[in-house]
Order: sequence, then structure tokens, then C-alpha cells
Amino acid sequence: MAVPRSATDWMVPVFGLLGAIGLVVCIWLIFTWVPNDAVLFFNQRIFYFHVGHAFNLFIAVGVCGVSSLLFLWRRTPRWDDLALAAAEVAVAYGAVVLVTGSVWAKAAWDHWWVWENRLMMSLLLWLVLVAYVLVRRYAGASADRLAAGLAVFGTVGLPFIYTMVNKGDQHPQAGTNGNVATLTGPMQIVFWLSVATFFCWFLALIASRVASTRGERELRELREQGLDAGLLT
Amino acid sequence: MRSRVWIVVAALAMFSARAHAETPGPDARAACVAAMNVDKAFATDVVMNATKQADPAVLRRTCDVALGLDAKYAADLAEHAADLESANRRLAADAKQHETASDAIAKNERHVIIAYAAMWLVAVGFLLFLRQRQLGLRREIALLRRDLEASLKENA
Repeated sequence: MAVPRSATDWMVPVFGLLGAIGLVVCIWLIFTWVPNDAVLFFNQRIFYFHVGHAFNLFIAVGVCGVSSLLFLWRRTPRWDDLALAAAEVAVAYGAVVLVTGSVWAKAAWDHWWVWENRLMMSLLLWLVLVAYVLVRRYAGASADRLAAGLAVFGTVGLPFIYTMVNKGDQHPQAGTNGNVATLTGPMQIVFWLSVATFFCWFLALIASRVASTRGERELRELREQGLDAGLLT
Repeated sequence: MRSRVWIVVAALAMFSARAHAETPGPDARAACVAAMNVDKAFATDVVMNATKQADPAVLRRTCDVALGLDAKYAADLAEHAADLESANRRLAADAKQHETASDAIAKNERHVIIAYAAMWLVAVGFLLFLRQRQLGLRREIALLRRDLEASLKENA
């Protein structure tokens, strides 16, 4: 009898391959096809990866928050596995967003950082995610519930960060004319392609981490069973 | 004999007409002056055409004479020269601006490279983190296997 394969088994290679192809195509298009922005010139090309990661950061935080909420409600370990995997991916994506954003700000406005609303909220969200990972690692037996509460708290901030760009703050806009919808043809195509590419990476990484976290948990449970049965000392 | 005389007369008439066309006579000149007086655009065309064909040295001398005779013309010419100089200065400033913009774009390239390198560093860091977790999991499995084997040996 064949052992049933988990969804994570095929998700990692499939989405990893799609992400790798998308990454190559994106980089090629960004540097050969997309025109220079009329105001920001060449440095606007950072936008495709910076905002692409930001969109996926929102998705990762949303997945982490909803999974944590479901874990707190149902106490099912698989939701906890998904929340932890999403939080770790969100930390990586958040780091890319903050670093590339800072470099872009230096290139365009000669400032590494400006203490404005959206940047502050984004930094706080990232710190909450880092706190989530640290709590999971060091908080002991009740780490999963503590971290889940923290994730729900962090997710509440998402709508504020997303809407702040239209609330007159100083954060740079997506294109010359403002938001993503007003980007010119090639810019918009490459932007959405980069979002899709990083979403593929997000799915591959999530699947990989869920499988790994599930393996760690199952191993822990087996060891406990072995200890209870007197097989292990 | 009569036909030969007609041929000679016709040839002389043709020669005379050709010579007349090459060097316009006083009548043609008078007609041209009258036409220029009546039609200012035609007069301008004639003057422009003549100027194009004229010797630059002659033009310069003519200009000098005109400047000496007409002070306002001299002032206008000086003003025009100043305008030209100002336009040249503006062009030079524009060129400098383009140079600065080009430098700015080159500087942007550096920042774009830094941003993309940072992204790759974070990606590599995250993959190393995943690898570390995988290795940890493998160590745990090896440890559990060893403990189980030891336990089975003891029980046997």
C-alpha cells in the first residue's frame, strides 16, 4: 500500500521551480524591458522587488494571524504549524522590504530612514513577527499560545499599514502618478509578475517549513511516547 | 540660294537670342527693379539669393559700412550677439544638467545593485536557517533511533 503523499511534498518542487523561473524572467524584464521612471529614473527598478515582497509580507502575516486565531479556537496543531511557518517566512520577507526600502529611499530622497507613519508601522509589524519567532523558541511549554496571541495582535495592524499610503503620509508612491493601478503597461505587467513570483516562493517556503515543523512536532511526540512507554531514558 | 539665305538668318537669330539671355539688357534690369519695388517678398528673395552667392569679404565690408551709417543697426547687431552668447551659455548649462542627471542615474545603479544584493543576502540567510533546522531535525531523528536501538538491545 502506497503511503499517501502530503501536499507539501509536491508544493515545494512545483512552486520552487515556478518561483525560480519567475525570478529569472523578472530580473531580465526589469533590466531590459521596463522603461526608466520619469521622476525616479533607474532606482525605480527597486520597486518591483520591494513592493512585490511587501504584498507577500501582507499575505504571510494574514496567513499567520488567521492560522493563529484558528489554533487558539480549535487547538489543532496543524494550524499552529502553518502559523509558525508563515511567521518565519514573513520575517524574511519583512527584512527584504525594510532593507530594499531603505536603500531605495537613500537613492531617491537621500535618506536611509524617515520616521513617518507607514515606515514606523512596518517596522513595528516586523518586530512583532521577530518577537513571535523568539517566543516560539524560548518561551517554553505555552509558547504556541503566547505566540498565537502575538500574531493576532500583529495582524490587526495590517489594514492600517496598507491604507496609510493614501492618507497623506510621506511614504513614496508606487509610480509617478501614484498607486500601482496608474503604472504604465510594462511596469504594471512586471510588477504583477514579480508579485506572482514571490507568491510562488512564499508557497514553496511555507510548504517546506510546514513539513519541517510537522516533522519536529511528530518527533517530539514520538520521544514523549517512547519515554512514557519506558523505551527511552 | 534663297533657302541658304534663310538658314543663315535663322542661325543669326538664334545666336542673338542666346546672347541676349546670358547678359540681361537694361530693359530686363529695369523690369526686375520695378518688380522688386512692387513685390517686397520677391525683393527679399532676390537679396537673400544674392547674399548667399556673395563673397564673405564683400559682405563684411558692406556690413561695416552699414554699421558706420546706421547706429541703431549697430546696436541691434550687438544685442543679437549678446542674445547668441546667452543662448550658448544656456546650452552649456543644459549640458551640465544632463551630465549631473547622468551621474545621478549612475549613482542610482549603485543603489539598485545594493538593494538587489541585500535581497539575495536575506534569501541566502533564510535558506541557511532552513538548512540548519533540517540538520537539527536529522540529528533529533538519529538520536531517537540510537536511543530506541539501545533500549531494544537492553530489553533483548
